[in-house]
Amino acid sequence: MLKNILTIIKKESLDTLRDKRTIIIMVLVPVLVFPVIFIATSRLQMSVMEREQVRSLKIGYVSEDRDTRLEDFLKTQERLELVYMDDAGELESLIRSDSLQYGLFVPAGFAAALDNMTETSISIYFSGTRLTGKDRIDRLLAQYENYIVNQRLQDKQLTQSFIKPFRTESVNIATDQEMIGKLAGGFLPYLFIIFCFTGAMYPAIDLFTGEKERRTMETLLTAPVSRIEILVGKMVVIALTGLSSALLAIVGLFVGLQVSAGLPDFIMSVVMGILTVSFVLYLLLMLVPLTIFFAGLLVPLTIYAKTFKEAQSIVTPLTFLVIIPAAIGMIPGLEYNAVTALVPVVNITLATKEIIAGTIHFPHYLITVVSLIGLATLSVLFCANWFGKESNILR
Amino acid sequence: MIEVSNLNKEFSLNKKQRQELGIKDKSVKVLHDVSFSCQPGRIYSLLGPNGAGKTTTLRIIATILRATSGTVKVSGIDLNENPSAARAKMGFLTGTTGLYERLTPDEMINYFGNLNNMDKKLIEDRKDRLFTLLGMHDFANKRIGKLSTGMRQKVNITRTMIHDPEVVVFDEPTTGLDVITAKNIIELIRDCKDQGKTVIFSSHIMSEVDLLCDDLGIIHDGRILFNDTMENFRKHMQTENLTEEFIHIVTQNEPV
Repeated sequence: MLKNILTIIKKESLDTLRDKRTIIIMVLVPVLVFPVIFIATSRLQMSVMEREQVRSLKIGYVSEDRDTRLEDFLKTQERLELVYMDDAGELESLIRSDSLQYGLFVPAGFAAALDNMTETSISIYFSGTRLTGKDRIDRLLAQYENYIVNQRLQDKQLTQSFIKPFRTESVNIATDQEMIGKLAGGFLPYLFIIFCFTGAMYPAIDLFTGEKERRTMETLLTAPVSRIEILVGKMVVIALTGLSSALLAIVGLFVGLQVSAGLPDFIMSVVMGILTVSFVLYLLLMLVPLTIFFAGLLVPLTIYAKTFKEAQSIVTPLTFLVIIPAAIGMIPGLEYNAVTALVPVVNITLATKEIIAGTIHFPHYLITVVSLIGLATLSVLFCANWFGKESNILR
Repeated sequence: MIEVSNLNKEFSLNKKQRQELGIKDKSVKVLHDVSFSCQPGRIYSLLGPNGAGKTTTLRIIATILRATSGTVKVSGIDLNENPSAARAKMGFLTGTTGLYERLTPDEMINYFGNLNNMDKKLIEDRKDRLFTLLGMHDFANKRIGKLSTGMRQKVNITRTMIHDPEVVVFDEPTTGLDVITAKNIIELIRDCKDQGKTVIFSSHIMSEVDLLCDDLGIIHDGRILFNDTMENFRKHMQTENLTEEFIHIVTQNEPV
């Protein structure tokens, strides 16, 4: 029996690895997607920041106040050009057409109100659709505000503690690893669950529906091998491709993080520290039954479908069945306990968060692994029953 | 040897299929007590119009389908008891059998040799002999997807014969093939007979049957209407030629 299964695994692996579409989905996409995204976003971010640093801001300045102290302050600032205007109504259209980046409207009596220490206001015009640059004008006005507050304190011979009587010091008891594990750790399992499923999806269609469509299934059924041997051989290849795809996505993610610039060093050192032998083993112990379970979900549908197209249209919506629980596991505050440890897919996300944070509760982890093995076994038994029905195979 | 006794086959129908066929019953019976036997060194032809039950019968013999009732024995092995052992004695070929396009003929033949539990040396010897016989060495290592129809059919023949089966089942083997490729198949069927193998083939082409067969079974609407030697068929003909006689038998037994 084992010899026949190994023969089928060897042949199906060779056949699958020669399929360009499978290679693209199983290898190229998971390996390249993260490095490409990280490099592209960090380059884009850097170029936007560099451009912003040398960019000169054009500010429409409308003042009904005769006092020029604010205007003089702004004029001393680098890379800032004031465009004097008479009517605040013009500001909106000029900002909209990008002739100006911002507008400032100073009402009559603004400076006098400051001198008299009465409340006053100043209006900033901007377009919320442009996210860059507003912090610069906010910073400038905050500087001017500080300058006035300091003057007032000096006049009254008071120190800063008059307006800020005490400081708060936060002491974070969580380690960097715990923080990353609990807050961002859900992202990692989300990724490998998705890649695991999509990586297994295409070979499942190819090995069952494809075989029916190409009329090779009948030939295989006339060989002296049992249907269970055929099924197991094919399911192993499907599970292996899903697993490879997930592991390649993780490798791609770590490579992407290393080649991208801009992440703080402590995050990098924690992220690199996560990739230990025990982490990989913990992960594999969950991923192996998960991929078999995924294969068990995909195989009956791909056996049932008559054509590749039909199989794709049946199987694609299943992706949402996987994405939704994976995303639920990412919700902050959802605890990994004896109940959630039993919920398929959600349990993987939650367990991985705990593993990364180093706070995994072993009995809960055991519940997850055992429940996943149970599900994988049930799915294989269901597939065996399904594959044994001639109405499904020869539909 | 193939022994078919009281073979019945029912297909269950879903709602959509019932609507399409205009049938109220939840199942349809496609074979009714089919019985015949095929002897070693002789060619048995199962002749019938489209939808008569030829393919279903041959698929049951090849263990692709299971009979609802009745027995089939291949080389003395009951299919219900040990289908895998029966498959090891059998080769199955149709005119529309597909091949693994991403494998080479060499890889595909190795695959089926291994599935037939042949050792490596035996596979190599048989493969070399068949490749030489069919002139396949030139394309043995090319991907099947890039081969012509004729080349593909040669790969299929090799796949069918690699384990030197005692029984060979051909289901409309020349359907859709060009004249030269069809001729190769006819030669293969003759060779099988000469080697003392039990051969059964289905067809709806009378000339093919006339050319090849020793024993004849005429099947219509899932029932065997004639089962005897070709010689006796010719002897008792009531019309001028074989085609007319076939039509005569079938129309006489048209279901009411």
